[in-house]
Formats: sequence, C-alpha cells, structure tokens
Amino acid sequence: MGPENALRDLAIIFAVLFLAAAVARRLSQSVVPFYIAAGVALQPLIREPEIVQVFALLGVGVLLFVIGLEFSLAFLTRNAGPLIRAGLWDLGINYGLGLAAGLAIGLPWLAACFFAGAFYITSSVIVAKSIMDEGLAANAETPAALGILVFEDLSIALFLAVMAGVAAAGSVTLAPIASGIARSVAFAGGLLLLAHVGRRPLGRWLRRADDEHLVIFLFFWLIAAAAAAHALELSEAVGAFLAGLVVAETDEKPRVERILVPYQQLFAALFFVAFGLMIDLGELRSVWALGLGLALLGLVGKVLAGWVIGWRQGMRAATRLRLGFLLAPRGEFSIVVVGAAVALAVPAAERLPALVAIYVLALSLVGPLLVSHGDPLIRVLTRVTFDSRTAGS
Amino acid sequence: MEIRESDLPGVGKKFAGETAAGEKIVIVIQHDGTRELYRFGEDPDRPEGITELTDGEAHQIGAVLSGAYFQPVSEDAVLEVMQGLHLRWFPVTPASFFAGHSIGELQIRSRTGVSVIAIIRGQRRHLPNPSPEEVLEAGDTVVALGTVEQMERLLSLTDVPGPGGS
Repeated sequence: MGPENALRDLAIIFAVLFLAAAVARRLSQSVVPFYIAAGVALQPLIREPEIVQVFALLGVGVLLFVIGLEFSLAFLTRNAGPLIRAGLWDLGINYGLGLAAGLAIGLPWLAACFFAGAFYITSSVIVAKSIMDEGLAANAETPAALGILVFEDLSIALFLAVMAGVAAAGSVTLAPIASGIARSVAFAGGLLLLAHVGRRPLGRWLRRADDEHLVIFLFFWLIAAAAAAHALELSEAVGAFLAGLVVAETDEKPRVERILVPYQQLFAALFFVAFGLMIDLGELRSVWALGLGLALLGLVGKVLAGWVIGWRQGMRAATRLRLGFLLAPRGEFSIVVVGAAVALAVPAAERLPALVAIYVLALSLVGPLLVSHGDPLIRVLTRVTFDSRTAGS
Repeated sequence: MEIRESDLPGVGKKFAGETAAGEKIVIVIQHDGTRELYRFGEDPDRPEGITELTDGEAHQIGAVLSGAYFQPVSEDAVLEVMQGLHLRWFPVTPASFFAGHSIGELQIRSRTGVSVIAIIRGQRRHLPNPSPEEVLEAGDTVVALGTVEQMERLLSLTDVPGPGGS
C-alpha cells in the first residue's frame, strides 16, 4: 500500500460520490441510498478499502455529535408524558416486529436483538430533510414525529450502551444489561457534571475562540468522548452523542452547528460509502428478496405505530397515515447498529450488513417518496379503513 | 393576537397564531435563520406554504410590517414587538419637546434608553436609522423602540399629547 494508491482510491471515491450526490439532487431524494449504492458499486475499483475506515469512524462521531447537539433536554422534560407514551408505542411495535422477524429468519438471539435495533430506528437525517424540503414544518403530524425521533435518539444511545455490554458477556442476561445501563448512566453523569462545573470557563473560552481553534477543540472533544466511551465498553457512538449533549447546553450551540455542518456532510458521505464497501456482493444477491420483504414489514410497522400514536393523540385518519410515512425511512442509525454488531463480533453478525443494506436502501427511497407523493395512497387507505366522512371528523 | 411558541427539535421554532378574522398563520424559524410562512386553508392539518425568506429578507419585511417605513395611522400608536419591547409612533407637534432639535441634542437614548429607529416625514419621505444630527420637524412621526419604562421616561420628558403611559 502506498500513498499513490490511497490518493487514487480517494479520487475514485469522490468522483463517484459527486455523481451520486448529483443524481440524488436531480431526483430530489436523500443522498443516503445513493451513497450506499456508490459504496457497493465501488467495490471492484478500490484497492485499499481500509482508507475510508478512519473517515467512517469520524462520520459516526460527527453524526452522533450533531444529533446530541440538536437534542433538547428542555423539550424532552416539557413534553415528557405524551412523548414517552408515543415513543414506547413506536418502540414496542417496531422493535417487537424486528425481533420477531430476526428470529423468524433464523438469526440467533443476540444477532436478532441487534437486527431489531436496526429495524426499529428511523433516520433523523432523512426525516429532517423531508420536513424542510417538503415544507411540512407546520403540519399537524410533524411535532409528534419529531418528538418520537427525540425518544428514538435517546433509546438507541441507551440500546448501544447496553448491547455493547451484552455482546461482551456473550448472552442476553440481566447482569450485563444492568452493568451497561449503570456504566452509561455513570459516564453520562460524569460528562454532564464536568460540563456543569466547567460550563462558565468553557462558555467563555468558546465565545472567545476563533473558528479555527473551535474546530480543533470540537474534534478533540468528540473523539476523546468517543474513545473514553469505547474504553468503558460503551459504544463510541454513545460517547459522541453525549459530547454533543454537553455543548448543546452552552450559548455557542448555533455557531458550533454552523461550523460542523460541512464536516458532517463530508464524513457522513464517507461513512455511507464505507458501509457500501463492506457489504458482501454474493450475500447481497442471495438476500435481496428477503431484505425487500423486511423493508415492507418495516414500513407496515411504522405506519401501524403512526396510526396508533396518532389515534391516541386525536389525529384524523389521513394525518395518522402521514405520521407513519414520515417515520418510515431508515438510515444512519441502522448502519451504526449493524456496525456495532460486526465490531463486537456478535455471532452471525456477518449476515446483517447485506440484509440491512437492502432494508435501508428500500426504505430511505420509499419513505420520502410516500411523504411527497403518498396522497393518492392515503385517500385509498382512508376510504378502505373508514368511511371518509367519519375519517374527516 | 395570541402567538403560541413551540419547539421543533432538529428543525427550529414554530410560532402559531390566529388573526381577528379567524385565519390561522404559522411562522417557522429554522436553525439557519430561514423563515417559513404558512397559512391554513381547508385542511386544518396541512397548511399551504406562502413563502420562504432568508434571515435578511425576514428583517426587511418585518420592518415593513411593523410600520418602520410607512404607518397609516398618524395617531400616537404602540405595538408590542415582543414581550416587554414596544415600538411606538410619536407625532411631533409644533409645541413638542422634539420640534426643531436634533436627535443628538435631545440625548434621547442616553436620557431615556429609547432608540429612534426611523422618522416618517410627510407622505413619501422615510428616514430609517436616522443619524444623531437629524433635526426633527413639526409634522414628523418618530418611530421609537424601547421597553415600557423607557417609553414612560421619554413621555415624562415631553409634552407629547396623546394617551399618557401605555
């Protein structure tokens, strides 16, 4: 391996990414499925797939950091009751369906638990993009959807922390789950305490620091937190998420967000490509039909969850369906979960990447399409399930 | 009009209100400063988007809406911009404390805290952000921004006619 190979590989990767982004833009779709497909297509061309691994790791870090940054503790506490109820319905229906499906396709327990996590978790990135692009910010289903995403962010962070402990112990038993929860709570508590004690000097320093200095500090902070979490046998994604949560409590949040956006876009692109590169092509060919079937089930799960949550919150039938469609896309989190399963050497985890790749590709395309062009389907479904007059009341 | 504020995590903030005519309006301010304007038509769950504004455009249009450039009522008028922050139009009468003096001479800001953000002179001439040297004339309307206390301090300095206090 020489630097000329690395440069050659990166040049090819960015050329293909450029085309993928152009196609996504042209079709007004999220870049996520196109980047993953680019990674799969790049496999025969890349001699040193390892070179994107470090970038992919940074991609997970920056993605989770930004999600932590946008995570609002105030929002969570203000809306705790309805938010937790809605989040639990979504978790129960979709994690439950995922677990049943994982076991039904012959995955062992532990791998099925990871698969269920990937099956359950909606892509915050794609949903946020749909809301902005389609102008859904004032729609009735949007606050409920965003509330569910907040709950999901928190539950997947806890899930990763717990599952890392469980995978290390090798079985789904109470002790590693309890220790995983205890360690993540201790870690989060320690970080937040540190942030509280150091908040004033940190805030003052952040205010004075110029952009150049701030970028270096942010990367130090998120990587150090990720490394510390990793050393504690929590997932590095959890560390980065909590690091973002700490910075979110300072006044410099908007500036930090503005500075990190280009890095997030760059490293996330390489993260999706790296996922595409690690997929076994033979496996992909043998599981595509199964993956599509699971994607259909994943869509049904979110529509069902949207229907139940919307019904309990007094939404009209069409709005309940729109809530389900909005929550349908899966993306970055599903890949993070699969990445964790592979990194932890969970038995049968090698079956997951190809399966979840099909699943994510299908739902990251179909979900936003249902949001933008799903009205005829919604009309048909509301007519089938209800008389349209009662649905409208 | 009551304006309800709520968070949209990851998107921004939402402000919803209903006009006296019964029309529901929603303004969403995204984290990057983009403003989205919506009004609700037939479907109460799905508004029609009116337009999208950049941060700068929103400031310009906001100034037009608040009457900084043109205010049809020449009477002494008060508008609550935000909680505790008022925009007020003072007509300058010939007998007024203001008439014939420059803003700098009057030391309006240092004595009261109120900022003069525009002067409306006649039908057509508007002077946004006037310099301290600008001399106020009888017949002008002064557009001032400040808190209730600051406005009262200004009123106590003047013999501006109109409803005392606010």
